[in-house]
Amino acid sequence: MKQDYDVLIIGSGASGGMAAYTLTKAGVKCLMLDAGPMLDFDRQRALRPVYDLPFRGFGEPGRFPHVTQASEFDANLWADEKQNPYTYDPDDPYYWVRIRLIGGKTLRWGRASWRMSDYEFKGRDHDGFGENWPVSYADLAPYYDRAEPIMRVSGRKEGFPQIPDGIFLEDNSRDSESIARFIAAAKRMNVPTTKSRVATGSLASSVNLLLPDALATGNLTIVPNAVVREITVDTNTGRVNGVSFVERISKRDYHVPARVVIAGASTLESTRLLLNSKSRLYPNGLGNSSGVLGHYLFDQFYIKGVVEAIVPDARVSKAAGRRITGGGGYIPQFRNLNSREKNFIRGYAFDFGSGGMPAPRYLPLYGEALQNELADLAHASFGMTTMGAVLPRHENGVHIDPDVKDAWGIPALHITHKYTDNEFAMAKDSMHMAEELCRAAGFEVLHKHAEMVPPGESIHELGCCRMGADPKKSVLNKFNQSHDVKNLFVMDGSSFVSGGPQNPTLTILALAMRASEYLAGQLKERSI
Amino acid sequence: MKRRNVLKSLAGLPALAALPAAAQAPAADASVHRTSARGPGETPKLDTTAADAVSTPAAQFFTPAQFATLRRLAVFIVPAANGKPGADEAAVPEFIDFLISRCDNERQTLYRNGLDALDARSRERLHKAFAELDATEATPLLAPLQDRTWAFAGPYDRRRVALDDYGQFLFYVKDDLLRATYNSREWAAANRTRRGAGGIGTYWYALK
Repeated sequence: MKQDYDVLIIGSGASGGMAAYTLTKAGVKCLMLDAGPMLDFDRQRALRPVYDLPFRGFGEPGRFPHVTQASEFDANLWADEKQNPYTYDPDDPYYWVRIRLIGGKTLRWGRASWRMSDYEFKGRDHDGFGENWPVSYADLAPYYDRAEPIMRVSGRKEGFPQIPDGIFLEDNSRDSESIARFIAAAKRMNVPTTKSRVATGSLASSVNLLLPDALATGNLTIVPNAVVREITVDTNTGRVNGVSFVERISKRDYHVPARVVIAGASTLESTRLLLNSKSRLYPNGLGNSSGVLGHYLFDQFYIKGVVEAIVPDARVSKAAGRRITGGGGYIPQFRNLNSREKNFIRGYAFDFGSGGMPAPRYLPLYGEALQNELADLAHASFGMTTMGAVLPRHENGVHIDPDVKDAWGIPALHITHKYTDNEFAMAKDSMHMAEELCRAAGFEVLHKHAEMVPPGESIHELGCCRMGADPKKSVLNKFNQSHDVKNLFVMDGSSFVSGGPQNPTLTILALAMRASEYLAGQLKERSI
Repeated sequence: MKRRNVLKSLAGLPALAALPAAAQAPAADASVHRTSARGPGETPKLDTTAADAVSTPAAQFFTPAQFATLRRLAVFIVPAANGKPGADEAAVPEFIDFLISRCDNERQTLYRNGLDALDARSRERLHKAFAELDATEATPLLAPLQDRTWAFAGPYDRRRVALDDYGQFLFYVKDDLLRATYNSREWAAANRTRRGAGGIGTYWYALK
């Protein structure tokens, strides 16, 4: 007899991993399915020099048209675009970036760990746009408190309400001279700065921080290479009763029963799964009586290198051996907090960093003159990147493309996401602000621009299965539980209502922990 | 210059087999491979060398005229200097020919048209092929590289760019030539103690 499971978790990344961590520790027996294989860190990687790679580090052209993050070194980690197709209007490209491995995107994430605030959770109260979340910062704070130590987040407390302080490995490292100059200039301009907040460790992933403890309880079974096709429903009760999946390599079909299903397959995959889980009871997709499933897609827009500058006295010819660059920091949102900007609502943040030489493309030189200048600028570079909040809009979203299927016969997504005036105005403002800050710090600006990367490239896609107090305007309640189907939960970024410039992973971890504790309580009371 | 000759002539360069080409440091003494050096159950780990350390394939994508233009351009943009190999010494023109042959039509067209335009302008203004110019003569033809710092971030931005195709081609080829040089084994060998080379990274094998 196959074992009976209380909860079936789809996905092994941040949300699935945290769900497993929380539920197994509460005594709940979980089965976890993930579409991808488990990495063997010992046998599947090796140190190699770039000149030994067939494309000298450029990567095979055309292999990942939409994954700018893939390098020739790690190309084999990213989900193959041919096996996992999707469509969009050619005038509005969408870059959907995926990792289909145990651990998901937590294997490659940037580790930035910022708490969201009531500026985001109660955004509608603040500026009248969109909807409030059905939770407040106070509801989530206890879960942020527990997630940060698990992820070993380092940072420095500042007391900024827009990025609430957390439980950090204190970062009191000294700033280099040029960074100190930049911070002083920002302060004179009333722009806040702080240290980056990052999950530390050589690997900060579900694979080493969440799943091992879950497995140690004896309550978790992980099945890799299980590509979930559909969540199945008992037509008598209207409740989910299991999932159908395809074994990735053999393409053999399976069905596994479950009493509760948690979708943690990532924002667009969970949404796709619910849309593909149509039935007579749920003709528009599982749990979609509101019609909102697939709508209100948003992310963060990025302007990579919004400003590239050099620190003039960091030139080798001027520095007399002193190293005045190195390190960096973060500027949290500062617009539209206590005042109203003319052209846009909500705001953006910056990453800034120094050290190293500027990329040759920023210098109007070539030949020996370029080499000499680069050598002089070997440690003089300073750069900033904008991360901006994107407004969730009904017309941005996904639907199933009836003509396209993936390598396992599962219908693919068509994705629509256009940035609008609010984002473009914010982008311009960020460029002017970045330039002003650099000049105020005495840096020489080489280049500035306000060109965002395409929607999706931030890998912070959110929404499409949003939570809300009103079942007519949302898919999930405040515990990530489907309004329509009480034994279905969706715990990943698809549940977000809105967002700020903050990277979403820490919030996904906190939400998944909170929702899982609620679920564990409900199971204990036999209320589900 | 044939690559192998160049490699021998670079001062202080170790023999080809000793360049790090695998996860572990190469054996200082090749006799470690002898059977008597291994235990009965041990499986051998053989030293191997990558293909392009022993051979430079001829250009196959660009026409001879385009390739000659590219080679000359490579010498201007990344010359050998300060004891470091330039693009030509690092077999970069051949590599770029290979890389572009695998790129999409848009990139291929940009390169072909760019190389043709360089040569056409050279013949029009100086009555010589671009491949026959010296650095001073070529300077006016490479003016876009000195007139503005246009920095592109990726294919998405190309649609919004104000530069014409000629300028775009020069900016792409400058970036590609430099990167291919920095990522070459010749550059790594010449920069053992200095930063600037493409470096060593963690490579993930294909997963089944």
